Amino acid sequence: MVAILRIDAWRGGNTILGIGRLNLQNIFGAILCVAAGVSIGLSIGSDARVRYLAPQTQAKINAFVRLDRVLDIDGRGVFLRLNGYDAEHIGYAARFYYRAVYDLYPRTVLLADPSVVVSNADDVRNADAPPSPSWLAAHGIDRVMTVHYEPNVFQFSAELSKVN
Amino acid sequence: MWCTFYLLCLLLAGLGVAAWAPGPRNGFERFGLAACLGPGIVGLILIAISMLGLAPSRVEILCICLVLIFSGAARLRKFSWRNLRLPALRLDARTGWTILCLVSIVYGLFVAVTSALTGPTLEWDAFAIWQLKAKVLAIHALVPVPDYFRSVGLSYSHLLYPILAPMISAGAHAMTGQINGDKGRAPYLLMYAGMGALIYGYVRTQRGHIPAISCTALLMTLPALLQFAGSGTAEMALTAFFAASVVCILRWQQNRRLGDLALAAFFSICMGWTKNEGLALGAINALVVLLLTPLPLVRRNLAAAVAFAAIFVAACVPWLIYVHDLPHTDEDYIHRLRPSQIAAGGRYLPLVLKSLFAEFVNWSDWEIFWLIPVALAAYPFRVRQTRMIVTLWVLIALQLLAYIPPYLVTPWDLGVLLPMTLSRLLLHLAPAAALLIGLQWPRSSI
Repeated sequence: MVAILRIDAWRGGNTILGIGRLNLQNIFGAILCVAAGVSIGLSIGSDARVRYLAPQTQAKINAFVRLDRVLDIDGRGVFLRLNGYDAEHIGYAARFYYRAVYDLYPRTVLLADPSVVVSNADDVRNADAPPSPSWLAAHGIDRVMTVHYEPNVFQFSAELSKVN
Repeated sequence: MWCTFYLLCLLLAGLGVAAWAPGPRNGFERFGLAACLGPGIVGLILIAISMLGLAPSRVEILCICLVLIFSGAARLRKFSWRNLRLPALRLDARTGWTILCLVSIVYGLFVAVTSALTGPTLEWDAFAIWQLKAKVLAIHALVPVPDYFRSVGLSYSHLLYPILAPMISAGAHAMTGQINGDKGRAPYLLMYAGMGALIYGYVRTQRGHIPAISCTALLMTLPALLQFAGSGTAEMALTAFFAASVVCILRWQQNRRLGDLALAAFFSICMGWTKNEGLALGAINALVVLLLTPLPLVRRNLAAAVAFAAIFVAACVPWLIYVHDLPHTDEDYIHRLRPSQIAAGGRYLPLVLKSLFAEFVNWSDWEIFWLIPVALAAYPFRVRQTRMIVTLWVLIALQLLAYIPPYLVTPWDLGVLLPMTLSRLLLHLAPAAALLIGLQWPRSSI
């Protein structure tokens, strides 16, 4: 920044950092430019650090790629059973459910009876009820995916079974 | 390829409509206007057709875009790419500063392109809410009401949220023919670029190149904006529509041409159809037009301001009617915002205000962006474009005030909700702050 502003000083002279004559207005202008430059630089640095340098970012992308691969399944509809998630980790289970609904739409993904309201992670925890095969068939479900809580592996492992 | 073609169609449709916008506007402002107008108008038309029973399709989108392009074709001849040129650059501080800002803007564009066009949808409310709705709208028409809107098991996806942003994404799915692709995020890239061009073009007309490129670079590199630019949520759309509406309101105040007011009303309608917050932002726009129009008691100005408010309300009503009979299982702020409930939530006010203030100086989201307009307000030699400056501050103040009551009545835990949402709410206001920076930038800076 200062180097750039010095170019003007070299060309003109009698200036402060190449900005103009030494007065309050010009000093304020110079401070503003430096502040804006610093803000822009810090913004880019902050974004680049999170986006390209933080190991968590690549881990997050890999986790979603893996999740999408797990959810790349055939069939008409899926019932999710969430196994072993306590109150602290239920958010991971909720996100699994949200992702499953998004990946598999327009196919049906259920956690419980369709009349049960699922607005947040607590509802996801309360909604996990094992259905009977006839109930599954009546709701157009031909797959059951059991999701187990597993620390440090994106908090899940999943197994798929076909409903006969 | 179809995705690129869709973006081109949206841009050309926007240019067709923007050709009717009153001039003089430089090429950047007209391009920016087109990049925000195109997705908005095509999205709203697709919603209207969907309410008549037809889901979006490639043919439908092409027909809409062709009509819009031809509507302004005769006037488009006046548009010249030469208007998009930067000023001549010489070896001086201005050039150095310009290059710095341009590099920053190119970084922002690179981030937006890569996050919008590559990889899976990562932002959780992008796939849980907005892009899920996009799939629903791409497959089903709004009439008969799709099962999705009655599926209380999907309440987490905010069944009753407005649908303009998902419909714009649904257009990408319809155009590419891939419902399961991740191309629904692509249109927001256009809006990101358009918003930048619009801010630059407008401020350049008012204050010259250096203030314009400075405030544009400050805005377009904000970490909070880069996080959402290509994420697939509705934040980018709402922010871009708000930016466009504010620029049109400022133009109306300067020139009092009805075309500018009509555009401001259109963008306010788009905001109302994009998010619930957009309803508040649009209503505030109407209030500001009503209160801060020059010579407000002159019959023509008063009538125009009242028409603005009436058109905004009338255009947002169809969605409220559509969702009226659907299950209200999620937040449902519209019904919660009663004086008794707001008063009952008054004990949370100190926490909300404290968190709001803390967000303004949250370096990881904003660096010192919000401090710059405050510093400029205290600048003793600022430019005396008083009405525009006052309008922008009033917009920011009213919007901050409007965001407080929902926090007082929310069913969610504020300790979780505030950190999750405050950066988004301030993001919607960021274009107004960028305009404040540009319009008050001292001439003596470089």
